[in-house]
Amino acid sequence: MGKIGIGTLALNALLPSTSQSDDQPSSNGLFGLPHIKPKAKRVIYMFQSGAPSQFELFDYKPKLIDLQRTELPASIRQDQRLTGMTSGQKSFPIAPSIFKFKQHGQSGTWMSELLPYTSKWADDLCVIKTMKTEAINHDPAITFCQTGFQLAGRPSIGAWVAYGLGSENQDLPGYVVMVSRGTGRAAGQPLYDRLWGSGFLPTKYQGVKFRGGNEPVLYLENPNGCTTQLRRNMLDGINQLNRGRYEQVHDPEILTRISQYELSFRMQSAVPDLTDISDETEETLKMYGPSVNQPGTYARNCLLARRMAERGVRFIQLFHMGWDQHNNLPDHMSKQCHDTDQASAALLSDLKQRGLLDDTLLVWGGEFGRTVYCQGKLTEKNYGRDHHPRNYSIWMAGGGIQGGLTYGETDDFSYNVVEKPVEVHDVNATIMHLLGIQHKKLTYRFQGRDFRLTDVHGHVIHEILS
Amino acid sequence: QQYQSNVSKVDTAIKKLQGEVEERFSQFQRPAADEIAESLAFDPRSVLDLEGDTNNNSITGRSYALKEPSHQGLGFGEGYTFRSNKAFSVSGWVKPTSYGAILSRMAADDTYQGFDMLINPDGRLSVHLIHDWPKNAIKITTNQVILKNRWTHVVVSYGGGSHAEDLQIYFNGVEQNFGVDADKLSGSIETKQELLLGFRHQTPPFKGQIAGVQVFNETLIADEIKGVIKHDLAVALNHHNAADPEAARHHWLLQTDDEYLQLNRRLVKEQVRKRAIESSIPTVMVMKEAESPRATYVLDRGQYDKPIRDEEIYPKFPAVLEFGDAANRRLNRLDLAQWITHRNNPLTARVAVNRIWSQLFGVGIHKTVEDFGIQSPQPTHIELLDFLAVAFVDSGWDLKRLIKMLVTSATYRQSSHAVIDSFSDDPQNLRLARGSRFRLSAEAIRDNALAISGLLSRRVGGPSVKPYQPDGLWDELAGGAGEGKYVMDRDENLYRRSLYTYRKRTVPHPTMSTFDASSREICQVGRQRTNTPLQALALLNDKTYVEAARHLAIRTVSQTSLLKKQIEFAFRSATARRPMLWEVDILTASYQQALVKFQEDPDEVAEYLTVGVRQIPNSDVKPELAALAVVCSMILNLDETITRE
Repeated sequence: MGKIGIGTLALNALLPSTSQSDDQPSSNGLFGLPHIKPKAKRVIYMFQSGAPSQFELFDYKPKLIDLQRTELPASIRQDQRLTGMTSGQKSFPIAPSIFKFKQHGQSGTWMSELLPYTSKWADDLCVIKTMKTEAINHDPAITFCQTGFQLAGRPSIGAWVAYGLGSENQDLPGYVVMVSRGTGRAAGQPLYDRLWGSGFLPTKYQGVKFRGGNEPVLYLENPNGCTTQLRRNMLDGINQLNRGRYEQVHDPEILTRISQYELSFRMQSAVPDLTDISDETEETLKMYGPSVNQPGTYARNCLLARRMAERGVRFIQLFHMGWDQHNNLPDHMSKQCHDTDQASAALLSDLKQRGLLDDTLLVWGGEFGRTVYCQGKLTEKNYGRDHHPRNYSIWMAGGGIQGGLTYGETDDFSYNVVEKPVEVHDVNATIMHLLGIQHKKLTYRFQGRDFRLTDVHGHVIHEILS
Repeated sequence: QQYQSNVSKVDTAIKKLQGEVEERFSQFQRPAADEIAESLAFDPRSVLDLEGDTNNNSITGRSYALKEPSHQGLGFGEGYTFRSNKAFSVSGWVKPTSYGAILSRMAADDTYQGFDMLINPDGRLSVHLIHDWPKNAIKITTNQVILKNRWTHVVVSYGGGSHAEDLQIYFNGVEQNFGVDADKLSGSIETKQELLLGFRHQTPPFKGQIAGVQVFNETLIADEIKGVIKHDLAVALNHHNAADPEAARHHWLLQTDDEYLQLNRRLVKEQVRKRAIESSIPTVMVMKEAESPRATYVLDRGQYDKPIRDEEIYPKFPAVLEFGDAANRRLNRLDLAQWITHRNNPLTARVAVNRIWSQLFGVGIHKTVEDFGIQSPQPTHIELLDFLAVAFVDSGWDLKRLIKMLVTSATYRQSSHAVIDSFSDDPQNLRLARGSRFRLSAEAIRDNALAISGLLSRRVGGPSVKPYQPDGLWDELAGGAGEGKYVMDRDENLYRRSLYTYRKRTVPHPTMSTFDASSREICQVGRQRTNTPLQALALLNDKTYVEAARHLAIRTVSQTSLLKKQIEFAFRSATARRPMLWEVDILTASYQQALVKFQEDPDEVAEYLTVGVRQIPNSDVKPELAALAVVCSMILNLDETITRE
């Protein structure tokens, strides 16, 4: 074998070191980053796809009860452009929420009875009631939240973060995505892989989708008939041959290839270790609710998000579908909340118990809000709501966020922002800020110009920071 | 030309038949009074009769016109209650101008509980009986279409047994063949939603006319349907100023005159044949200048809906870049094409040459192949780029000649082996002191593996194909929207070049994006070349490559039985060079290790050798072949195999 007598031991020296401890700098981020001292090391973004109604969750509008079935005043609607789904309606009758609201916690944050679990943590949440967006339909609106632009093709927020900060754990991807489907509207809006794509950034920063089944990451499993030992032997051989090739041609890309093959092997154990929840206590599982035992559910994804946070995955994004309540809203919202409320709250409290909430930023929200007026038939017990981009509610919590705060105010119809509007760019700038990134400085040159997540917009919302 | 002669033959046949049909039609005589009377005496026993406005221009004299662009159908309250365990039939006349539901009584929620008769966008009729869509429902769809702008008599007859086989569909009294899309109904199909004519929720409305809708409490057989049709027509024909008498006569003849019926059938057959020929002709999109160009105006502050009518603008080249003949006419796209390729415009040829260069050398002379603007870096070899561009134009834009010139150059033929300093001083090889070395593109990596293994199909052209892809990728995101589920192709289509792989932009093929293929959401000329663990996992575990490795092993065994020769053959197939001794040693050792393992466990041999759809004879399922397949998989994973040196 001559000069090629190099085994795995020597190869390990070539590998980038994994750094899970706090004092080591995270590897493979950009030079000079983070720009400022980060308050959060990682983000868990619970994206509620389809646009949850603010009326039934956070934006309490008691005055609407007296206005039930009256026509939405023109002074409020202000010639707002509507979607094709209700623009043909002859009447825009006001539909107050049928769900009861209460103030919760020391802070007295208003929340509805649909959120019995989340409301227990009212004092940890910052509810933003005055989110605004430019888009009125799902796909452009989600694309806008994810990439800062309504047209597809730009890098997603997780890809930007992974590009800028790199990963805390070399055995797992820096940006992970998990998708679940609600029971509130089974045939809901689709999602697309590009929503967590890397756009023009290198594809290694794209979100890696973890799936519910046996193979959480595509191609993770060895083919049938190939044991772990056989795989190890194959990799040893491949690495030796590649190493020998490097000795001849001296292309450092070959060394990277060797380390990536080693990493793939480590991923094959790191990922199952992450997704195997058998080491969780009964108590923990109970906290997330019974559906945690079923892979692919929102509850399971929340639990996995916590396990990823523990392991240093930088940007964890959950997408939960089914929030598009054009009709049968009371029934469908109840189902959607039943599917998600307990697990969202469990994730927060689980992180808190483990001391992870301090440096993990939680974001909960959809792509726009819903209309005060009813779509379709308005009855005592049933109604629907169309898309509404002018204001909607989200919440943030954890690393660097002030708890127990309700930010911004909408008018009595939750149709327009009265004070403290928050743009999607502002939220993205704030997320970046908490991670230690100055959003105006993280740019990438493509087709002759520097691009950034917040385009030419975005202000950090300092008032909600702790 | 052959198409043309076929089309004209069919045309002649159609013309002749049309003449005969018209001739026969013109001989129509008002049916004898007793025949009409007999038809009118037929008792349709309907339990619900939805005859509409008498003033309508209809085949039965009375019909509903559904014209408004976004009507929500005509409601008939409780109308009739369709039950899954009771027989019923619906009969009626339709003349669609736009397809939609003929009739529905269906819950306006996600269960779709209820019954409907829906003309699909392609004209086929679907019938749904639904308890909870799609889990608990019957859906059938006819093979034949209902034509637009013509009257068709439609009957749906249901026996009450909760199975697709309990359904019959008749068009103009003729029983139709249908496909069964769902056949799993166990619950009730009753709903409080009212009976609607011409509409079903969440579906574009039916537009056109619907006439003489009747519902029966029992199934209808062919003779009875004929009776219903004749009864309807007799009413119309008996009416002195019946509207649309031609249609009524036509349908009367269809029911009563066998020769007329046969002529019509032959005519339809020829028309179908003509459509088949026409749709088999390959088409090309052609753009043409509009006869009178659309006026274009300056938009006020760029608002698309605020043109300034006083400021009409015209196509023009920037004044400083004007060359070619100044034309005293409105410029068009041909002028633009000539301007783009004008000799005085060097940019086009430079960009084209630079792209070819970057494909061959890994990096362009102008590094940003997509951007020659003032913010992009300077070209590394300005004179060379210019020389190549001029030579390219002088050759008459001859790409083959350009490529030949580049690949036969001394620069291109340099070895990519270099001293360590060469890589650290110039990692991207911008100064071209060594031969370029870069990873193959996503498409080429797969094509290369298939070619090495002998599986690659070399067929050129044709529609896209669907090779191996992990299950469920389309469903879990798009929920089967658009084209529905991903249905993997078979046989040769699994091994076509990646160029032909079906591209769903919203859910691209995973290995394509893993190896940096562009998403096609935006124009992306230059691609990244990343090096990631997911790539290793794909090359090691994706069926495509496991199967390719096995077939390389099979190919190898057919060449020689000597292990050393086998390893040499497989290695050389992948890298285009003979392995060195130490390389053979490593692969031999790996082979022996694998062989021992496989000899211990015959089940694993069988499993490993049956990955993918290509099967091998049982007699070949041996530890030796499995071990060699392992070696071949290692070879396909070598950096050298997926790298252009």
